[in-house]
Amino acid sequence: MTITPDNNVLIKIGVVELNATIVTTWAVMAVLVMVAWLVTRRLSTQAQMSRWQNLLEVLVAKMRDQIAAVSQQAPGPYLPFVGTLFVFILTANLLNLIPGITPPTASLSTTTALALCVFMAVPIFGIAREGFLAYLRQYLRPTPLMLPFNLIGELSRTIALAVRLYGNIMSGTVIVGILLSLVPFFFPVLMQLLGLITGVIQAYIFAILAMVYIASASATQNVHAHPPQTQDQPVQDSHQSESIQDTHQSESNPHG
Amino acid sequence: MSIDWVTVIAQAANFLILVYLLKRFLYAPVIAAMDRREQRIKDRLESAQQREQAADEQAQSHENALAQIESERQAHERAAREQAEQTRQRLIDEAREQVSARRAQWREALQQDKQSLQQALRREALDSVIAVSDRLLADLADANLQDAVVQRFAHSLKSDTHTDTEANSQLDELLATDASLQVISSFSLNEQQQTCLSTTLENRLGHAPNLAFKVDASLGLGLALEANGQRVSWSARGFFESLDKRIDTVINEASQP
Repeated sequence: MTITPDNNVLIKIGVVELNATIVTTWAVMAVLVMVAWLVTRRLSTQAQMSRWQNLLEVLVAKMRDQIAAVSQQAPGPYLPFVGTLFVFILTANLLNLIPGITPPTASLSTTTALALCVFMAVPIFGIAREGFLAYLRQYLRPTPLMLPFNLIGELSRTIALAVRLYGNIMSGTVIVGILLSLVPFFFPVLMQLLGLITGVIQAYIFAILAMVYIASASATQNVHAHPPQTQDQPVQDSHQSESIQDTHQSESNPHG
Repeated sequence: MSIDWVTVIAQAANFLILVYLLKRFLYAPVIAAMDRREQRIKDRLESAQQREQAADEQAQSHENALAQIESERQAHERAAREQAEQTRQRLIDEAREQVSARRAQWREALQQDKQSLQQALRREALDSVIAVSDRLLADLADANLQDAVVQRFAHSLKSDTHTDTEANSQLDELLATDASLQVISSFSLNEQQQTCLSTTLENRLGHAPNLAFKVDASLGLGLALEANGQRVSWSARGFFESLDKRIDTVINEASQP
């Protein structure tokens, strides 16, 4: 049984080897960009619009709402990064339903890459918003003695991000593969449904945690310097906030 | 559970490329469309509010115009009522004046009729009184009364006893004629009475008169001396006629305004 699609080399051109992870990632990218291009080339500003445009507008609006609710800031700068995280992971996870295709998120290399992107995005957004020194100063809070622990926290949560997504998706794929050999009928369908739910939830969790990390990089400064600013969504959903807080608190103890 | 770092780098690059592509083809167009729609809705709402405001102002203007029209209508109605009241009052006054004039005219006519009737009644009463008196005098005329009438007539023929100068001059003018004198009476005079009259005339004329005696019952109680178409008389009828003339004169004077 193939544990990771990284080892499944599909195309080899000289020294360049294209494994299944990269190829499926390109396929996901192609599908997403193609759908986006097809839908957005004829956008309507009237009350009447196509169903696909309506779907994309709902998707984008909800992502903006979630980002605004979590960050208490205008969602504009964060939407491309966080939204792409969610859309890519969701689409990749849904590939789990197609027999014979291993989603790229079942590869630790992919989840690690995404986690590293988040790891890098946190200081980039923080420095862009608060400035270099102000961003670095938060590692000394509440006391300089906490610097090592803050650094460990940064690394551990990045690793946790990667491992959580990888573990959930890979485990689902492996479990379905094992069950296909043991109980080939009916039961794998239930596991596929479970995998579907898990894939959606994991995509949401990954994106939200990324947003929480990015927002926390400037939240410390905001508490002392700036009131929360949300241009697009000034009213915060308290229920969503609580659920996000819970997710944040449970990040150190991911399920699965 | 191994990590292929080449794949990691490739996936990171793929992800960043996907971020750019989705930002280019998904987020930016969709957000722009949503913003345009929101702006469009906002513009339409503002336009609707402006129209509503304009409609409210227009409605207010119409209400003001209606109120002004209503005010003018009330003023016109009030003026028309006042004019109608004035016309009615004027017509009533004219009618009252006409009625008053006609009433005065009617009263005047009634008064005239009343006076005419009174005059006619008075005249009729006098005529009746005169006729009755004449009749009574004629019926009661006996010898003594005839003697008294002769004596009264003879007395009136005397020039020194006449108080009425007009009657006296009329008698002189009558006696101056040389024509024969005629004594007219309603009864036949006896000889003594004729003598008395002849003597009286002779005393006045200074010679014996050419005297004749005639009986005329229409004369009534009294005597008349006639000569050459002129007559001097003393009779009850003559008094009554004189009285009648005086009454006519008084009535005519009273009836004139």
